[in-house]
Amino acid sequence: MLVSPNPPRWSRSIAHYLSHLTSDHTRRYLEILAIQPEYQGKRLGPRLLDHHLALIDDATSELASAPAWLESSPEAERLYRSRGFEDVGKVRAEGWGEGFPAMLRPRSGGE
Amino acid sequence: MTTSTSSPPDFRVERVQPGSPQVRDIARIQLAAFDPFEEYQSVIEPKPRPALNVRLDRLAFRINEKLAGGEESSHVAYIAREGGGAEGIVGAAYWLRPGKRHKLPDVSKMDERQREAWEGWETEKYSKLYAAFQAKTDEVLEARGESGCW
Repeated sequence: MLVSPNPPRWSRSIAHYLSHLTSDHTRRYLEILAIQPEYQGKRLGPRLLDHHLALIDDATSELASAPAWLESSPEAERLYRSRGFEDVGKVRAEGWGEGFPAMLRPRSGGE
Repeated sequence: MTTSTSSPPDFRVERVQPGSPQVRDIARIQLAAFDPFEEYQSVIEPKPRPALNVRLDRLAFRINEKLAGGEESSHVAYIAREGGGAEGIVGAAYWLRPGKRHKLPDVSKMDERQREAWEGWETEKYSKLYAAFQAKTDEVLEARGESGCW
């Protein structure tokens, strides 16, 4: 059997697909968190965030201990850090300025 | 809306169902929150932009498609609703199950309503940003033994 330490991309894609079929895949991605401008500063953002994180932290939930991922605005990084998200580098793309901080809240009990 | 939870007195958090009138409120909140960031909004939704009502219709349509389990299934949206007499929706969060690699939609297979909703949003630059997001997701999660996007 030929084993490559760096399998080609198509091979990795197949592995991911098979992994998807066989695992629970309960990772969560926070796509949008937005508060109406006139209500900002009233801690509604944390409340909305905590609502979903509580499901992840609930051992009886179907989302129990799921890792969570997001790309933050610079202004919100502190909030996410306070909820267990870790900096994992910046996402940069042409035409998007300084880029966006990527943050991961690891699977609890893991890493 | 199906799920309601306890919260401090003035606001409560609710889960939104696709097709509910609240989806348009989510679209309104999203536009209001992101419009001040013209540097980014000009990429997401380049000018010239149509009237606000049209923009809301388009964005609500897209959100509904996501909530209904289209290309990016497993969306859950929450809103914070002001309590008391005249209630209003003041915030929104939506989560999705990552993994499905973002792809440019096949506009040729869309009906007129779908095509209209996507117009002006799915720019090449926006798509490149999504690709960058997912490349980062792959890099970090795979290094930790999790699967990346598929």
